[in-house]
Amino acid sequence: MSEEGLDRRSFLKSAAAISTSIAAASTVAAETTKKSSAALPGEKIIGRPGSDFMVDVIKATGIEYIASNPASSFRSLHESIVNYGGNRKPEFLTCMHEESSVAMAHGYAKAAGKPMGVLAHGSVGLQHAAMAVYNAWCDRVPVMIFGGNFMDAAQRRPGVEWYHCVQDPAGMLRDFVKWDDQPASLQHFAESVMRAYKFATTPPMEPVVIIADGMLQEHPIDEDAKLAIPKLTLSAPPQGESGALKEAARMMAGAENLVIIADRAARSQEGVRRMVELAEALNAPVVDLGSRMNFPTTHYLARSEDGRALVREADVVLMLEVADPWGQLNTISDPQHEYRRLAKPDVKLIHVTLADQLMKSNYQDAQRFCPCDLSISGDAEATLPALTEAVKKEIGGSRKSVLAGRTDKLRSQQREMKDRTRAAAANGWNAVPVTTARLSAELWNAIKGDKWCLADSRNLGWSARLWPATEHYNFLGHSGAAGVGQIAPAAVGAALANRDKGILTAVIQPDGDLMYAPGVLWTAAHHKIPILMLMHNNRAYHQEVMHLQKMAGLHNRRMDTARIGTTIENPNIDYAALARAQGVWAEGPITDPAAIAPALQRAVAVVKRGEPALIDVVTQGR
Amino acid sequence: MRFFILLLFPSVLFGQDAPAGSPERGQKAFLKYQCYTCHGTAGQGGERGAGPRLLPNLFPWVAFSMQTRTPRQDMPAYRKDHLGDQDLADIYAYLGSVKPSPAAASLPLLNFEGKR
Repeated sequence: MSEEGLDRRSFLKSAAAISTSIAAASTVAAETTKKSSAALPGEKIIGRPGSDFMVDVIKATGIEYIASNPASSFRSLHESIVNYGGNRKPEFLTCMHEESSVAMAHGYAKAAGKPMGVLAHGSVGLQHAAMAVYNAWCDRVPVMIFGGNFMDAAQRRPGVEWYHCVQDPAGMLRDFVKWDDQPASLQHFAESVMRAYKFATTPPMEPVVIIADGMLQEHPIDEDAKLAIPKLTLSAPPQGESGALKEAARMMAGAENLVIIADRAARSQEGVRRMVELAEALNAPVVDLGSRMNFPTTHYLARSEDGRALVREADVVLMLEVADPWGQLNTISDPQHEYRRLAKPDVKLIHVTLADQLMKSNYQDAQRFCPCDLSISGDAEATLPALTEAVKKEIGGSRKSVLAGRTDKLRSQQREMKDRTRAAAANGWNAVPVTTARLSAELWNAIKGDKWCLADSRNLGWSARLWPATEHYNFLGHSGAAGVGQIAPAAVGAALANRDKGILTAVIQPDGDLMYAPGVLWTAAHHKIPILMLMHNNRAYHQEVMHLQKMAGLHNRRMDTARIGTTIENPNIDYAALARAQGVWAEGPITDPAAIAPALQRAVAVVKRGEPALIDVVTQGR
Repeated sequence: MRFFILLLFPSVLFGQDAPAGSPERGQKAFLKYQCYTCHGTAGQGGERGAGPRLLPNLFPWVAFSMQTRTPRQDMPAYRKDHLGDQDLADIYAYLGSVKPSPAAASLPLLNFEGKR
């Protein structure tokens, strides 16, 4: 069969066969090492280094991949992963930047529903990783970060190794990780890894750091050591207190204009189903802020685009794990910094959130303090069944009829909202450069026949506004901290998780974001990660162009200089060539809107045979 | 306040003709002065904090020029020092010359199907 003739199923079989052969070879290698471990006189051989045990520990967590840029401070652990561990579960993913490693793990966790591991080099690797760790922190996503370091100064090689060692490696990340440890023994390592995994995956989920000391990795395991890997049992997520839920149900059942605002509420398809059940019980419109896929866009209560208008009219607002509650009810104008109230002054606010469980003070992801009438500390998804039950109990027969009587109007309002969106999307349909709405619609048309996932669903909001989406895996939200450079690697990580689920992963890829660490394209090609990247190439850091204009207007100065320092042109970057140079199938740049559909058709065929593809489209700014 | 006045006296809005302008020069000015960064090259508008659509239903001239010179909301002000009256008239002429977009209903790609 020709390469082009391979379908997805065949590809997956081939990939599995390749993996099996690698594993078999690795087993042989491990055996060889074992046999040759009897040292000849004067020869020093460490047959069973501490890093072998570390691999056993990592395997016990179920971590399937370790993303890493290779480095000396974890060379022993690296070698143990590939030889002792057979490079399977975990498999070593070669990355070209630690920021890419962590961002890949970020995207992977949201698609897979479990953490990926990251290996990062002492001082410099963790410094590179920091921005991506902060993104994951702000997005409440678990990442298992292992840092290499040589703590014992007497063992360090002179020169570079000193620059790359640090007294307290996790210290540089401590403000935005949930927990960290620097184990002093292998047993300590085993227990701390289990503790870290548990902490990371208990909502509010966050990254964690475990330092794997270099000498602990490289020294032989003490034959007398009675090492044991503790059993890993994950914690059930915390649910809101029952009395508070009853009070919330009472407030919502009596509301005339209730709005539900969800942000990181649903962690699974079950969470989406529970969201629907609650909304239908109250017949209340839902505004999905989109950090996760919380609510089907096809449902008559899905009213995200009407969010501001709904909040203005609301007498009660229920927020479910909303990152910025104050910003839903108030705003600050730009560039004047003038306060504006959006909601009624006497609106009642209920918030189910675990935000109060996170207590770090330096970084300002807490957002502005928002007074609340009823604050319920609990995981939103875990709390939804009890809350819905309380609502159903609260709503009696007559009230039920009143709520049901609103349905026709709600359906009509939702249709009007959708019609407005379509009309807006049609505006400038044939414009050159391509409009962002056209770009989104073309992508939808190319993938709608498959199970699909849009790895970043905020950067280009048309998709969340236009596309019929019902599954939790459809939209993965955004970077968390809006730290540029996250979208490409996170999408590749998500595509890796989706590869074995038969879900086609696409991303609308901004040009500025890709240029932070474009080496992730090579990682996708090398590891055969099927992803469809459609460039949103506006040849600028477009947000910054607009900021410059605002400042010029404020200072009563000229606007035509706003592109100085904010654009990515002269010369224009050839993203297709950039991708092809790294082994990724690519086409572009495309400027004619009519040329997008056939290019997408070819790209989807590439992705379905298990490879990454990139199409560069020159677009409008936004 | 000025908008209340305009509401009371709509002739202020609709009764004044736009000054003569050149669509060709206007297109160049629309790009030069970065109007398109927020409103799109065809006046279609942008998303995520960018500007609203200018077309279809272009503002009457008085409202258009007033919004440009002393804007409401978050738009930066384009004062005469940096965008002359003739440039503004040309931009208005350009926007008036933009070919209407197709209706959403006529575009198969926008006919999304979904359960209601």
